[in-house]
Formats: sequence, structure tokens, C-alpha cells
Amino acid sequence: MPEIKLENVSKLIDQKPIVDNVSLEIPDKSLFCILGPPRSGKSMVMRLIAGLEIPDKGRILFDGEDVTSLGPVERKVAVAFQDFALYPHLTAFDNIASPLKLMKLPKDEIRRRVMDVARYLKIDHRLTHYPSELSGGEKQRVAIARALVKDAEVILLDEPLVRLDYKIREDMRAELYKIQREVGKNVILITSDPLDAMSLGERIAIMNEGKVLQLGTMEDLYETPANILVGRYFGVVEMNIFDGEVVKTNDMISIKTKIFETSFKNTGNLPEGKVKIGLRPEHMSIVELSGKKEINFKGKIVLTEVVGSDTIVHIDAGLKELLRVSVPAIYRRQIGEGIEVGFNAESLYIFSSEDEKLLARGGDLIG
Amino acid sequence: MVRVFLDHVTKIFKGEKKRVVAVDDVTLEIPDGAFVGLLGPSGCGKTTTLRIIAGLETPTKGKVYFDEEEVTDWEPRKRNVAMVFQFPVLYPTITVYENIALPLRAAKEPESEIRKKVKEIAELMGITEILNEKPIKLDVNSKQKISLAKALIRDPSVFILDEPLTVLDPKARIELRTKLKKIQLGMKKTMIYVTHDQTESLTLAEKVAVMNAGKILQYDTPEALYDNPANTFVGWFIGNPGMNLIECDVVEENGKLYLSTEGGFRYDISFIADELKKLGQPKTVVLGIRPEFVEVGSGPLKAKCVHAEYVGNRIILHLESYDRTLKAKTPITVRARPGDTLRIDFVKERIKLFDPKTGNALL
Repeated sequence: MPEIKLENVSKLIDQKPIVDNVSLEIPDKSLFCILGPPRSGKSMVMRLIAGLEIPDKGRILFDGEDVTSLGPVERKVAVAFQDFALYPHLTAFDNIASPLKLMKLPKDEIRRRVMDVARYLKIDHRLTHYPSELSGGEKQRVAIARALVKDAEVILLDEPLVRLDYKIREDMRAELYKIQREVGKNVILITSDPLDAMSLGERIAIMNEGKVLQLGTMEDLYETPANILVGRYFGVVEMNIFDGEVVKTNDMISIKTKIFETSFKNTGNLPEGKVKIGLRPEHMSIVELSGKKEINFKGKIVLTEVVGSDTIVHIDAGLKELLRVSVPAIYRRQIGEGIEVGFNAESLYIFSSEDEKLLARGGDLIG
Repeated sequence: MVRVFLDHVTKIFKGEKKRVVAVDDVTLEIPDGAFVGLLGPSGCGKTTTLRIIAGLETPTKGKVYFDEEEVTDWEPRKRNVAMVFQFPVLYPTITVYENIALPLRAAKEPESEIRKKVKEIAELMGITEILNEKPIKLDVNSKQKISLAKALIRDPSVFILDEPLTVLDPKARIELRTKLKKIQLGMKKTMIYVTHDQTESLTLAEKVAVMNAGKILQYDTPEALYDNPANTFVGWFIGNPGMNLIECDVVEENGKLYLSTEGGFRYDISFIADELKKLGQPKTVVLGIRPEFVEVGSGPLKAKCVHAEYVGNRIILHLESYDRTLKAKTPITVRARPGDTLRIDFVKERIKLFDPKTGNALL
């Protein structure tokens, strides 16, 4: 049940760094999440932790012990791949037993171990069934049982929910959380869906182009995104980003954009000049529904996108990109209609227009 | 444009072993110029229904009308239905212009007319710049725009869209949803949009038919599907997450009426006692309440938080209340953590009751 440490780990393929100087600490018995878009290097990090690949540089430590050159079995690591990849022609029992059969263990030993783990995961009454007869949650439990039966101390889940219907996903996340609590092992989840990370990851590493962009709790990443990419990616609806300018006058600081202008007393360390402004769709509201806010501006409806219980309103406010505003209700309006949007200055994010790093949040400037 | 009417349509597929009722006694009216969604999980019969409308399948029972005319046995060609599929179907090696012009060429329209129409449609879809390119070199977003242009240029009677936007990237999806909506509003085309994705349906269509197991369960506006689901399936299927469905006994005690379970779940519903009496006071019901109408903080029910899912500035709490489970969607300011015991209440006017046997709405 190790604490896992990656120290300056790099992995090259055809001279190109797929994983680029990554350092991570994964606490023992936690649900850790590695989040990143396709080809961000997250799956390679998983393979490196699993011992399926050996790094070109750096070290991997389990409880302080160097395991860099050990294979998956010696590391006591198990991997469950996309869709949980169960054998459709084998019963739940035989699916769980398959790694033990490969190890050529005696029959009664296999039976005992399968039954133990099945009881533990509360699927002992479903063992004679085939995968097609099992519910989504049961399949998940069978796949994890198969991983655990080998005495694995670390379980790596590679995009376990990606191909599932979104209706089923609603419950599968909670189910995964429950399973991790029950088994109390180190579970590492690899995903490209920020919602998986938000709802499951106690700690989350966001990756892009082989690097870890930010490491922290859900709150850290959501409230203080290190840069524009994290801001855009780590959210329910993509953060709005548009051009702005910082102007200092006397002891005030002004932020000017095409759609609004606002001033703060606390000048902070903001440099003057061009910046990028970030605003989360869920921090903005429609004036006719929720009343005026500190800052209000007008625009035209492009599309009201009804996402089940919520609506994303796409608005043309004269910026290069459309603005997205989240409304927690069904809200349908016609294309081209005028609309007024409001938000409070504390929800602003100010990013550098050069390296795209976070410079300040509205809340910090209010003081 | 036409009005499409399905009159008690059933389609049965007979395989070697199994007999599958794909469409089960479906009656559906799509008014002339309306934008209607056909929504349901895979295998619900929506694709067979649209194939029947297009004339690609003949119903086992029932009739299909375009306006007042019965078209049940008409060939697809005669029906003048344009279809756009999930994956764009184009000739890869002739130009985009020629691809779009194809249906007009087949109809032997004069060259000047073809040029005018292609230009118009290309502008509408925003593909003027790529008219001379060949599809083989284009990305899927552009290809789907071309497919839509090709379908539109024929001026079909009915326009059928079978999940055409699922393969597009998010930006192009928003762009094309907007275009489709504009086109439909501007040209008043009869459009049928088939999808498993509630967002596509609720965003585009004025009315949505929710299908499951071959049947249409409800045919209504997005607001009505959300506010007043006709049955438990619609309540669960629409919304993210779907409606909580909690089976309870109805118990009368000291002149009050409660929803109750063996494990101690008890909720006073005396405020709807009269309505329930009128229904013959059923002994058991399914309580339907959307997660966003479960209030956390105070209330008559105890609930243990088993999981908190963050979705931006809101949290979905997975709760165990006595012997029942449910979800609450609350603002992030409710800082509940797994293991916490909370008190909960329901927004009274949002409470729905369903028949546990049929799943149909009672109140």
C-alpha cells in the first residue's frame, strides 16, 4: 500500500518526450486522478507507474524504495483498461480468476481467492453470470476484483468511464468512489473528462504535452487555475477568455475590455498593458432572471443550449469568440434576441497575454 | 413542406430465433414546418421510426401520411425526404461544388440555376471558400456542413437528421446547431432530429418525442418534459442527473398523510391529500423529485452523504436517507462532505408521484 513518487521522470519515443520531466507524489490509499486531453502523456505516466514501460530519465519510488526497473507483478500493480475489457465468453468467476490461472495456481487456491475478493466487493452472488448479464456497476466491480485478486496494492484505471453512456455515467462515478473506499487501496484514475476528476479525484494532476501543468485538490484547480489552459479545461463549461488591458491611474487600477470596464483600489502586482480576461460561465448570470450584478453588459443570443436541467447561453457580445453563460434551469430564447448579462468583479481572472499564466483574481484585487 | 403523420405504426423484425418489436404502435404528428426531436437510448426504436418515415422500411402495421396523402408504400425517392447521417456521405474525389450540385444535376436543372443555388447554400453554411476543394482533404466538420448543404439544396419535403452532430468538435457543433436552428426558423422546413443525446434534442427541437422500448412515452416541449414527465422513464432520462425515483407506501396517521418506508423514511404529503383521495388513494407510489429540488440544510428527513460530486459551482450529493438513496444538486456553498449527516426537504410544488406498476404519472 505504497506512497508513490515520480522524480523527474521522462520518457521519449522517437527522440520526442512523451513524458517530460514529471514529478508527482501520490499519497497512500488515495484516489488520485491524472487528467489530460488525448495525447497529453497521461497514459504513458500510467504505464510508467504500472511498470509496463521504463523511463529514460528519473526514478519511480514506492514507499521510498526505487522500483524503476521492476515489472508490474513485483510492484503489485494492476491495470484495468478502458471499458474494463472483460472477456465476454467467460463468467464473472472466470474473468476474475483469469490472472490466477495464468499464474498456474492450484484450483482450490484460485477458488478461495476469487471468493474472498468477490465477497469483499459484494459480487459473490453474481459469479456465474456472463458480462452481458451484469449491470454497469457490477462489471466495474468484476474488473476491479480481477485487479485485486493478484494481491495488487495499486490499481490503475485507464479511462474507465469514457465509452459509457452519459446516463449510466451519472451513477458510475459514485460507484467508483464507493469501491475505492471499500477496498482502501491506492486507486489512480486516468481520464480526459474533467467531470470525472472533479467528482472523484482527491488530488488531481492536469497534464498537457507531457508536462504536469498543475497539481492540487479540486478546489485549488477550479478556484486558482495556474494558466489559461487549466482554466479552460478544468470546468463544467469552458471558461470564457477574451482580450483586456490593465491601466493604472493614481492609486487605482482599471481593467478595460470591449464589453466592460472596472476599477479596483488594490493595485496588487499587476503590470500595465495587455492581458487575457477569464470568466467562468457559471459565475455569470442573465439579468432578466437573476437581476443586475456589479458589472453588466449587453449582447445578442446566438443559441440557448439546453443541457438537461441547465442551459448554456451562447452570446455574441462583439468579442472574437462567443461568450458562454450557464443558467441552472431550462431557458429558451430565440436567435438574435437582445440579452443582458451580469457578474461580480470578484469572479474575474486575469491572465498574462504572454505566457498565459494567472496574474490575479478579481477577489484578490478587491482585497 | 409537409405534415408527417404516423398512424398506429408497428414494425416487427423476425429473425431466426427472435421476434423483435422495434416500433410498437406509434402515433405521432409532426406539423408542417416544425422542428421535432426523436430522443431515446440506443435500441429504443427511434432509428427504425425515421427509416419508416423515409420509406427505407415498410411498417408491419399502421399507416404513414404526408399531408393528407397516404405514403406507406411509397418509394423513398417519391417521398422527397432528405437525410443526413452521423457520418458524412460524400464523393471524396469530386469538388465540394459538384457534390452539392449533384441532386440538382440529377433533377436536370439548368446550369445557371444550379450555380445560383449552390452559391446561396454555400454562403448559408459558411463553406464558400472550400467549394473548389475535394472532400478527401477536408476535416469532418466541413464534410458535415457539405452534407447538410447537399440535403438542403434539394428543397425536400421532410428533412431527417440522424445524429449528424455527434462526431463534430464542440465548437463546430455549436456553430452547426445555430445554423440548423436559423435555417429551420427561416425556411420553415419540417425537420426531424433523431438522437440519444438530450442536449441535441432539447436545444434544437420545439417538441421532443421521448422513446423507449419501441414506444413514444411523451411528446412535449422541453419545459414540459422537464417539469411534468409523463412517467418515471422520462423523469430519469431528462435532466442531469435525472429525477430521483423513490418507492414509498402511502400511510394515513392522525389525520395526516405520509410517504413512508419500512426503514423509517417519512414525508408529510397532507398538502396533496385531496388530490390523492380523488385518485382512490393508492397504497404505494413512486415519489419523483429532481435533484435540484432537494433542499439541504433543514427539513423533516435525515440523510447521510455518501459522495459529493463537484460540477463547477454546484455539488451533486449522493445521499442515503433511511432505506432509500437519492441525489441533491446544491450550490457549492453547501459544504457537505462524505460521512456528514444532513437534514433535507423537498420543494413541495415540485413533487411528482408515479404509479409503481405502470410508471405513469399520477400527480
